[in-house]
Amino acid sequence: MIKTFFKILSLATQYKYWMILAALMGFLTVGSGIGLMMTSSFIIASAAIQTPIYQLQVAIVGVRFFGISRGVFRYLERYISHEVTFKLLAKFRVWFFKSLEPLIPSKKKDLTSGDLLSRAIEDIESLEHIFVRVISPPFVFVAVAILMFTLLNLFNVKYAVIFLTTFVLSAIGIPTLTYFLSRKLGGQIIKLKSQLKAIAVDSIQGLSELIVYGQIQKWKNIFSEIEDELLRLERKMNLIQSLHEVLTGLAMNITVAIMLYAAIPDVTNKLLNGVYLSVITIGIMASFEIVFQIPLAFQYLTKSVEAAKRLIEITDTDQINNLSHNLNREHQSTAYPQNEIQQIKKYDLKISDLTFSYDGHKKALDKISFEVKEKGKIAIVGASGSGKSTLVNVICKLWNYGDGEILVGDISYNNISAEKVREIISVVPQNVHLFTGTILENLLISNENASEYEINEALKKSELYEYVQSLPEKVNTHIGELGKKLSGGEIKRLGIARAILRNTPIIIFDEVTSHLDSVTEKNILSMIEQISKDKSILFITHRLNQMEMFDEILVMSNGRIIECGNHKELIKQNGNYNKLLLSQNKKMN
Amino acid sequence: MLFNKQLFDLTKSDRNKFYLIILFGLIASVFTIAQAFILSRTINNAFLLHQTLQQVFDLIIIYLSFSIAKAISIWLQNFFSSKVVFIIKKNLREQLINKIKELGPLKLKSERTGEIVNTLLNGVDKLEDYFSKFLPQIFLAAFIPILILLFVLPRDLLSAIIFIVTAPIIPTFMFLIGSISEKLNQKQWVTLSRMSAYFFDVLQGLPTLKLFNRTKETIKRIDNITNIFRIKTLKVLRVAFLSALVLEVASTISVAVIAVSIGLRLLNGDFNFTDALFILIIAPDFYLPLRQLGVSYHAGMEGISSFERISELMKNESSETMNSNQTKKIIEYDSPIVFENVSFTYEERNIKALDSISLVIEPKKVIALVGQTGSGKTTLMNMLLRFINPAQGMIKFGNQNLFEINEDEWRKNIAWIPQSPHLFNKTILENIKLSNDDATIQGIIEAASKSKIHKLISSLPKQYDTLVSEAGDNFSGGEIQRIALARAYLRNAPIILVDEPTANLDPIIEEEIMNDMFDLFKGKTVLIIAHRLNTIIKADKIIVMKNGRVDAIGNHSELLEKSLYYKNLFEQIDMDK
Repeated sequence: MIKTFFKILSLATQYKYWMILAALMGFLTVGSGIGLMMTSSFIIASAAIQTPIYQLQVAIVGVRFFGISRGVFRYLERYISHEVTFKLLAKFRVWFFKSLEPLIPSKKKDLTSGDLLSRAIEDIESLEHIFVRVISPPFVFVAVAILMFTLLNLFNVKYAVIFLTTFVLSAIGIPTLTYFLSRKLGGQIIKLKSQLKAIAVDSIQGLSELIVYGQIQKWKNIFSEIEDELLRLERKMNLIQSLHEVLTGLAMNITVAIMLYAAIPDVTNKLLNGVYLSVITIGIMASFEIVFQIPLAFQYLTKSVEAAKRLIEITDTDQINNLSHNLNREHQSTAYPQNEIQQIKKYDLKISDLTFSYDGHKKALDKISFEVKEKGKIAIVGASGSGKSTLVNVICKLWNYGDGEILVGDISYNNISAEKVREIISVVPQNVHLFTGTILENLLISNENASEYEINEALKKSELYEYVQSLPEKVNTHIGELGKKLSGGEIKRLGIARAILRNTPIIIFDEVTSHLDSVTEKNILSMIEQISKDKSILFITHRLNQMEMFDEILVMSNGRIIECGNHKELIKQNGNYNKLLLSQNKKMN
Repeated sequence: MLFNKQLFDLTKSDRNKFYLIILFGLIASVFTIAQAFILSRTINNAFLLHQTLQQVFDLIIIYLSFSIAKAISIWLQNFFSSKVVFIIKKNLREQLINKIKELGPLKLKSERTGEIVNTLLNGVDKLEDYFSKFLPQIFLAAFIPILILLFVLPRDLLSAIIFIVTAPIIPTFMFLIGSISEKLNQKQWVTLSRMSAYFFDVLQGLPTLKLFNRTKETIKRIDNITNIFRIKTLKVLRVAFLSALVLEVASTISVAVIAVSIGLRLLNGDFNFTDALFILIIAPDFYLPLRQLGVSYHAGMEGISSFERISELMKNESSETMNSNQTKKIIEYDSPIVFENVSFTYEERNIKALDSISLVIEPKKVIALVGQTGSGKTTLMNMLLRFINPAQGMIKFGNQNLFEINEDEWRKNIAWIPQSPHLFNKTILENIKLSNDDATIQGIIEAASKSKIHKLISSLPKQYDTLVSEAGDNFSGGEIQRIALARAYLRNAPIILVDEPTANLDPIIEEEIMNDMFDLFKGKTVLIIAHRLNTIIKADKIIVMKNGRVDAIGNHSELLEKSLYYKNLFEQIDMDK
């Protein structure tokens, strides 16, 4: 827990001066409150014993000053601490993005799934309170404690010690007490919550089955059973947390009572001027303002640490990946020559005995060998799980391979950086991700320096030009406004236009034709045939249509290439390829 | 604006407990007043009357007793507010779940599962502070100052006037600045959510950004956008925080003014010290409830916006299947299902999904539904599953109107294999047993064996007790299909509805599964949405659908002669070869 907290803190150190300033303002706000109440009671008490008015002038000015300064300092404190908060938020966002980046694409779980990311974003946003709620109050508390100790010490060290003892005891003791009371509860609540969530997700996804098989009532019963338990614990937690306010108030009153008990004999014995009896009492009451904030700091601390833990967990899921990436990084900084791109003169890929494993045991790629000649057209077919996507990720140098070798223009992948590899290879992915923004912005993502001419050419080649021209704002149309109006085919075409814009010598098409109806599929295939005339093409698919256009077709199964040849040869072989082809053609739609 | 009538009505069932929250809040502040009274007296006695500790000791004890009484009142206040929250959350969730069931899978499809779950769990949670803090505080902020005023008024008219004059300043300014900054705030919320959306977007698009070598620029952009957001937001907050300033200054200045004015009158000797100290001590408490209202303002906003999302879900109209007269039981089993001029249109769509469909599904026959996407096959199937009702026309089961038969009663006759069956995060045993609560273990094993999945299950370490999530990725699409097959078999129902899988299954495995299915359900009524030639040929009767209408009915060879459309579907396959 402490480690996680320091991890967050270390991200925040950059803004330490801002934080100190904000905490100072917080202190001055509470201080002004104390000043206001103490000087006010001083005036009243002094007036009661007919102190001449000129002796009260300073106090009267002081009251007015504190009356205004408290508001001003409060304002400044709010303002500055929000400044800090937003700066931290930016910092946390960038940190998370940077930590996630090397792990993408993940080998173990989908790190870009909506649920995981929205949870992460929520967690990051919950961290924004860490300064205002967690870091600042303890500092203000310490400053107030010192201030009051000094002030009370002016009268009698006894008062100062009594105050400090109860003040510190209530700030530490009360949260500690409730922490121990609720220690187990917190974990149980989180567990029940995630259980409840899992059940809800599971049941809503399987709602049809539950309804058809008459299981709804049973589900409701299970849900409400867990919910009841959760609500009961949450209520218990609420009641324990409400002890904070109750006990802090009580502690303040007890402090006042003890102080009266200690000071009244001094007044009787003329050791303390009676005027100060009310000044001290009321000052103490005002100083407890900050103690009321301390329990909240503890609560937020736990919450922040949990949020941070979850975030760190996400970025730690892929240990192996992480390691290999670190290795990769080292390579980048040391081994790659600056002008590596010049060395690549030929844009062909030679892949020999390529082996890759996720966990070190089961091979996802097993001795894959093939060649993509310059301007060659290769197709890779196979069912899902055969290793096609793994191969794409390795060829794009998103993952590093184990044994074997990939050569681009006779240079080993081990000697060039991932960035350079991606400068010569474009991918049209299975799921084209469109960013919020205009069509133009989405195209420029692949090549920010593209000219208007190039963009229009890319749109023409991907057969989107007319469609885009028909839109009222043309390329400046917002993707979000198009919403679901973009068909699956149009989204794929945008992905292809992006790849064209990059103008790389090698293009990989990863399942571009899946989830498309047969007419659209046919159109897109013919289009790809057109645009790929002067490019090297690697075409990944599980649908066998227009396969005649490829020089070579590799059939993959379980990480191996089990057959290869061109369309006609493979049919003649009457092996797996032919089987796939026949069974596919038995399908309608 | 923040006092939402609908939300307040949620406390209806426990209005008494809600009033108890307010009552104990008021009792607590009565003790606060009493404390101030005792404290001022104690100090006065020691200071001006020169009483000794022994003489004021009783007062200190009374002071402490009041403190404890106050603490107990506050705790009781919380006790009842947590009770109210408990009940409200429970009721709301129950209503939501009932709504989810009523809406059914078809209507819910438009909403994402994640969003519904979020509303059901977090959305309801966010109402907590609204009910426990904000709503009672509205009442307390109105009552407590009046209560305090009642005690100040007899002691000092001037201070009472200062209170009366300044008190409205706070809510007025809060409202004034609040309404200005609320508008700004709302704008800000939009930017904030855009900001989050942008961040979400780039994270989700990370694979793309990486492939295009754009991650470094993106980091800069995140930083940039967040900074622009910060500057913009602070501009807004500069105004919004003025309300905090006014709140603070109004209360501190009036304390200062009261202190000075009372002080001056004390000097003149026309005031007594006890009352002066009492007023000074109680002054901050006069403003406290108003300030606390400001603090819980955010909770109030959040509760209301969260409730809006909940109401949105509740507003969805449920389908009309909740017929009251669907009470009848099935009289004759093994009856044909007859569609008579059945039409259906989905909400917010103009085109009829089904357009005057008439057809017969004979008992104990295999009937294939064929047609392109959008031809109405699935709609027809959904009617038989009783997810939707026909807008016009009638479906008869023998002589009975299908929609007069009790829904659950009807479904007992149906086994269903959807396109992508859902496996619940339970044991394999429970997953198969889902279709038949009375099934024995032997029965389940038999179903699994017949569906050719028993071997695989037996090979797992925990066999039938393996949690599906543990098996997780080890289940291929084909294996999931087979578990669904076992589930359907175990149902032992006379009518089997099947939606043949299309996507991403190994075609060879797919064929085997379909063959096994036909063996398994011999002698039953099987209605199958078919995509594969093999399946279609095996059917006793093929119904060809096109744009919501029946194009032709017959067996394969009949249709090749009779239906041009069917022939076309066929030639398309030939062309692909």
